[in-house]
Amino acid sequence: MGDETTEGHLQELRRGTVVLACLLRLREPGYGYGLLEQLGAAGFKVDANTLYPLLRRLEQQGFLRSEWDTRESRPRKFYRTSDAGRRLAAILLDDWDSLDASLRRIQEAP
Amino acid sequence: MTTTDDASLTDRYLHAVARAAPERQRDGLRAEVRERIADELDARLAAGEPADTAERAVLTGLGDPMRLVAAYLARPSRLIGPRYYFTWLRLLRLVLVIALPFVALAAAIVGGIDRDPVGTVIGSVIWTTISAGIQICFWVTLVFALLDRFGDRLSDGHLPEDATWDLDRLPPVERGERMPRAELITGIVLGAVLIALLVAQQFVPFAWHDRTAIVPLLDPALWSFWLPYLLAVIVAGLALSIATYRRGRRTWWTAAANTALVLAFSVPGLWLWSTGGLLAPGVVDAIGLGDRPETVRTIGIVLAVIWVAIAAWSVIDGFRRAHVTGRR
Repeated sequence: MGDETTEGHLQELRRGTVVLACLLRLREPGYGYGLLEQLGAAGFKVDANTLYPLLRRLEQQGFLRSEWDTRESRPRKFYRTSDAGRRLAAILLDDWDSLDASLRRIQEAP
Repeated sequence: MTTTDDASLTDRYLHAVARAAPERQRDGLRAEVRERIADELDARLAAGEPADTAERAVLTGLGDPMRLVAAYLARPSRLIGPRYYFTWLRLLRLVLVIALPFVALAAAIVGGIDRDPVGTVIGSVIWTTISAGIQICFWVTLVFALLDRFGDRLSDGHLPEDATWDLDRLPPVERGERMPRAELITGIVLGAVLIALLVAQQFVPFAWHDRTAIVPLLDPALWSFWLPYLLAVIVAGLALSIATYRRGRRTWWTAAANTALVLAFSVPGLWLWSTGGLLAPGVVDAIGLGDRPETVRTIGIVLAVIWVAIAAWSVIDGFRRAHVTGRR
């Protein structure tokens, strides 16, 4: 690791998994920075400049719903995975599993 | 808007974000970015950073507000994206190749009708062609940039087929770079035109001055040797073209012969041109440039440079093609 090309490949490999992680994590409502920390704690290093636009996009596509929480001193936008989002998460998770199995088979093939 | 002196960096950043966002999404976007800045700032303060450096670090991390807004709104940050790039490239090339020769020809004809001096006509041809090229580039690119941004709305999500490419347009494979017939015909036509011009300049007036026809263009004394010599070289060039075509392909030999002929034509030609021995006496005065030696000099240098460029290109192209043939 360390060099730029490797970093680029890693980024590409992880790109789609951020979506899946968000959809799964946000089955419980959460806001941008909190989500960033939760994902980080779970071993998902996500760049803030990637995550915030991604949340907006997923909301626009109907996979997340959002609500401004104004009860606290500072208003925060809370996101929650919609039903469509849950279905998408299930599909992505299935695909992840089958990809994993395929890769293992390829790896173990002589 | 009043003074911003007492506004914090964060306020100014949010202002810039709001300005870059479209009206409809302005408030929502500003609130979101404000939340993000506050959260990131809190995290840094909690880690013990001083307030002012923390604020700077957070805003620097967010980056250029325009870029941030583009990312949040998933706006394209490019002029023409991959979807239209090649269509744009092909169309632009096609339009330029078709239109510019006509533009140049039209400018030359207009200059001829107005009986402008040759130098003026050449200048106007070059200038008109360049400006037409810039205009074409600008408008074609503008249309595609708009299409790239708003095309989806016109075609309700269905991408238009790329009309500039299909399988039938694949270029044919040429075995060993066989010389195409079109190239032979072009060469013969150009050679014939050159011969015709060299002969015709003796009899046909190329310009008028005080309603008197000006003939000839080239010094008649050159007929004693140089003009017949140059004509002979052109004829030899035609013969070489035909021979190359009949042999089917270009080789190192044809490239070498081409080089010899280009040199045989250009070295004496340029020498005569540079010593002023090429034009007939009085021609420069007749086209109204007699009292402007600087202009004459400039035109002379420009034409000589063009001459050298064409000659060099011909030589290089010959060897390039021979190289391509040699590799197959």
